[in-house]
Parts: sequence; C-alpha cells; structure tokens
Amino acid sequence: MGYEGHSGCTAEVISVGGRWVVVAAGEVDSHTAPRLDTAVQQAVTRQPGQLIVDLSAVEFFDSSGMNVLVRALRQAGRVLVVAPRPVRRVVEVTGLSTVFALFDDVDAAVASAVAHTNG
Amino acid sequence: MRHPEGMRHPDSPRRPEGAAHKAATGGGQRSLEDLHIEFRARSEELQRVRALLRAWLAGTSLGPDRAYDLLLAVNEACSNSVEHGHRGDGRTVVLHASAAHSIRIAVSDSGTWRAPRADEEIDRGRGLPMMNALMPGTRVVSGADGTTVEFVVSPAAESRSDSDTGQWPRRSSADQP
Repeated sequence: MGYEGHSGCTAEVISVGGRWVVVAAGEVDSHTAPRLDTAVQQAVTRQPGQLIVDLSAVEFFDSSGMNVLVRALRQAGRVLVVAPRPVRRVVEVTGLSTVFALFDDVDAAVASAVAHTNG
Repeated sequence: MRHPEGMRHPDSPRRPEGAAHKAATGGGQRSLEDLHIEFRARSEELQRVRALLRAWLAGTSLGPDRAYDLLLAVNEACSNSVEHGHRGDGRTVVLHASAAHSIRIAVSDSGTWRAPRADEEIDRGRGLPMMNALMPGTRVVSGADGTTVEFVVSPAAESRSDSDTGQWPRRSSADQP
C-alpha cells in the first residue's frame, strides 16, 4: 500500500466475504478524517445495519477519527472496528471501548458480522 | 509539501526571540535541544508537526507507549488551536518542547477557544477530555493574548508500566479556558 511520511491517509470501501468494509491506512487526523468519513458514509449507504471499519493499516488516529466512528454509530446499529494499537489507545482514553466491537483482524470482524446477522 | 518559513528544527540557525535554548542535562534525560516549531494554523500542517515531534520524542527517555500518548495529547492541542483558536485562518501556532529535568511541551495560539455550540459538543468536545486522560497534568491557560496548553512529564513518572494509567501523577488540574 506504500504509505510514507507525508502521504496522509487513504480510505476506500471494498467487499470482503460479501460484506462492504471501509479500509483506511495512514494517519487519520483533523485534516484527513473527512476522507474516512466519506468512505464510511458510502459503506453505510450500501449496507445499513452493521458497519465494518478496518483500521489495521492506520498508524495515527486522533479524536477526529473517533468523531467519524461515533457518527457512524448513530447511523449503523453496530460498528465493528479492526483496531491496531494506535487506534485502541484512542478508543480506550475516550472511554468508548464498550460501544464499539473491536477486532484484531478483518476476518474476525466479518465472521462476527455474519454471525450477528444470522443469529 | 510546503515548508512554511516559520517551521524549523532547532538545528536551524534562525531562532525567534526568547525561544529555544539548550536544555541542561539532568533527571535522566539525555542532553537534547529544544524543539521549536511555528506553524500556520491549518490542518494540513499537523502531520508535519507530528513528524518533527515524533523524532524529537525519540531522543527523550520516554518509552514508545508513553511517547505516543504525549504525541496524541500534543496533536489534540495543536488541532484545537487550528480549529477552535484560529478556525483554520492560517495564523501562527507555536509549539515549544524542552527536556531538562522534565519534559515540557507548550502549544500556544493567539486565539481564544470559543465554547462549542450545543451540536458541536458531541463531535468536537473530545479533544480536551482526551488530553486530560492521556496527560492528567494538562494545563490550559486561556487569556486575552491567546491560549496555551502545557504538558509536563516528570522523569519519576516514566518508570510506570503502560497499563497503570491511574497512577500517573496528577500535577495540577486542568484550568478550563
């Protein structure tokens, strides 16, 4: 994916196992969070109900990124986040660990979404 | 990538008045020059500011997790200065970091943080609580000349493990703007 120092952040919507997943990489801050927000809005529109956001390639994540996730939570019933350490830290310190379903990899998140739908 | 004139590493010869001086060695910190950054209050500057700060923090005795927490907290202060202090008008924000017996980082702008509107409270009010959660000694001083956020990390606190955030010493409570 070729992320380097000043390339900022990329965010796109891809299909994984038949589910739409927002995949972001790089640094999410107040400048780049709108890109994540755009991708989240696309995914929520295509597939309301459960939103999967794969942030495993995100290296920096601040309150602007959290704001995007919180907004998503008001639109999707359930927000599943694949969260590497930089993201987990922010989720922890903002006291929001219990409102998002956190996962270590996207396969686990997709499996959970499927189970949640079928169960 | 633009390199605004005001943004420079302390290695650069030009210094603003009353700013950087060489930090004394002591308290477990290696001798490390102050970091002084002046940047335009625009969100696109934040990534460069973080890159400079991240490199500077690597020269301190902070462990990587603690350094990341401090980076996160300072980033929130810088974002607030851009968004609330200056509302992205491109005026100057000043970050000054020193590591003498403790690490001190101050972020100053010449604006006054406006109180968030009710509908902004939810989306934008996360910055200051986050700074306080990451760095319980965070001080915010807001006056007629602007707002300064100051973070102080004392060397005694660095031996803590990364999970016991609750034991982080509370140096002073944050002064609300």
